[in-house]
Amino acid sequence: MKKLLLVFTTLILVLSLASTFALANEATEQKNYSVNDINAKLCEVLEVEGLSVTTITVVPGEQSKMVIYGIFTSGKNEGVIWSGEYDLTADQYLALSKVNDSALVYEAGKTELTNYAVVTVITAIEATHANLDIGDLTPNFANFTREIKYMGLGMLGIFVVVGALIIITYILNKITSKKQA
Amino acid sequence: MNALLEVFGNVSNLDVPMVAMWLIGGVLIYLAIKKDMEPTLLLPMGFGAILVNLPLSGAVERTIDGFFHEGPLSTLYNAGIANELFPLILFIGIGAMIDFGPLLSNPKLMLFGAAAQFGIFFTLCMASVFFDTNDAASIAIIGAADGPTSIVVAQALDSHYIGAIMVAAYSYMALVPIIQPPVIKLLTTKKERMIRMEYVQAPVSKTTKILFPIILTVIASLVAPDSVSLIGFLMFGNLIRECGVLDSLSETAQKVLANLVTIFLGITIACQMQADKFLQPATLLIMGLGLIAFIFDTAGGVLFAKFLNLFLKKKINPMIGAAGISAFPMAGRVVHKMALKEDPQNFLLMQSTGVNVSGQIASVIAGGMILNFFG
Repeated sequence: MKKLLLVFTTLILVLSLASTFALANEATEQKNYSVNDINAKLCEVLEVEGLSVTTITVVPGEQSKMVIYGIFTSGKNEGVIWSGEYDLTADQYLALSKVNDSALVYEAGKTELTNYAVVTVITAIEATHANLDIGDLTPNFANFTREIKYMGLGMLGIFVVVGALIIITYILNKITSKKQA
Repeated sequence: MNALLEVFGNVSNLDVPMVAMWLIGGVLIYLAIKKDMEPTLLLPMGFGAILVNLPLSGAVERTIDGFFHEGPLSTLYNAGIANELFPLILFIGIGAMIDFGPLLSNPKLMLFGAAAQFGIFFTLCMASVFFDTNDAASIAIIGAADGPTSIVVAQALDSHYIGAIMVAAYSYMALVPIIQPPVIKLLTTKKERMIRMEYVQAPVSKTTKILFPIILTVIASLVAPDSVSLIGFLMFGNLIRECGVLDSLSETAQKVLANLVTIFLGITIACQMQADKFLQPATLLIMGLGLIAFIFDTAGGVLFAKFLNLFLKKKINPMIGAAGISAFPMAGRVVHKMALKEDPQNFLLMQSTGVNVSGQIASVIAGGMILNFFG
């Protein structure tokens, strides 16, 4: 029983350290969000280079949308004006429409976006592209390593709960058997 | 001629994908009746698949000449599956059926139930190679080997492949006696499979049986708050069973409630089995990933037991790790039968049943963790 406890505790410690390390790395990478992060996300999902956002507007109505205007600053599309339309959930629309009173949420050189607004914009871009990608089964093997941290965290969480249950059950069994004796 | 067209005109709306879905529905019905594979779910799903794939089917919502019609299956889907209500109510019945006695008399068996959820997270990593995060997580939860958990998680994550996920989950649950033995044999030696484990029936008090579901709900919810509904409904059902003063409710939950919800669940989930949603290359991939989830669940449990044996004087039969998959009671019986085959005097039923029950708990916690991460 003592050996079992020792093995179990070691396993929990290893999983905790691995997950904390993974989480800490992620946390240090994403401290302050900015429009550059939006530019990077757009370049990633569109698979282009050098896209720089000029304005972001939210379109009210039944199907609230976000329209992003940008311009290519490098690569073969340099100088070309680009725009994209993205779906907004009710919460996202509320979050962005509170940034300014008008529908114009962001204008390069004139307004700033908060961390929260940037994250909202990035989430809306990701969700819209996820919907566009349905049925696209092109493998992206980098995602395997990206999700490994959830493997560690998930197994850690399950073992922590189960470990606590085991200890509590032993205690309960001991208390109730003493009472019966 | 016009009259004939008016009567039989709908036949022209029939297409090849619809007929293909009729065949798939027929296969599910055949497996349910002839092979006795999870008939409570596969038969309603099979028949539902036929219902929703009839041209201009009145069973589901459709728009005709600009007018929207909501069919009864769509109404039931919105009422019970879109809001995850049916599977949660079913969990009350399942909780009322579970006897935690063998597990509570030997609590360390819970470790194997935890280890056997490894396949869920490994499949999450594999599925994310092809699918976006929410779909990958929904596919991974097939490894929970638990229908209600799979439905709740897939619905909460707004997966685009609920139909395929359900068919995969319930089909593989029924195929546990075929999937597990080769994996177990590959990972263990004959000597290991013949390890005998002494079973000592330690008495478990009624107080412990009553407190356990309450404590489990509180602890699991503190770690994964999104699992409150999953764990809570399961443990509520168990509490009804164990309290001793609600026998009629317990019997109703185990029989009438569980059967009623199962009927609605099976036939309604077929709403997601319309040809345009189901007949995609992704469906085959999901079937493959579901199989990987079950295989790695089995491997996770067995390898964990072997790992523990490195440190223990009194060895554990590593096969009981495989019983940690949540397919109750099949996984426990598979391990027990394999042990008897190797050694007719080796009775592992109580240990494997205890591990199997712990797998039910661990799979629900895993579902809660997935919702916590991606919900």
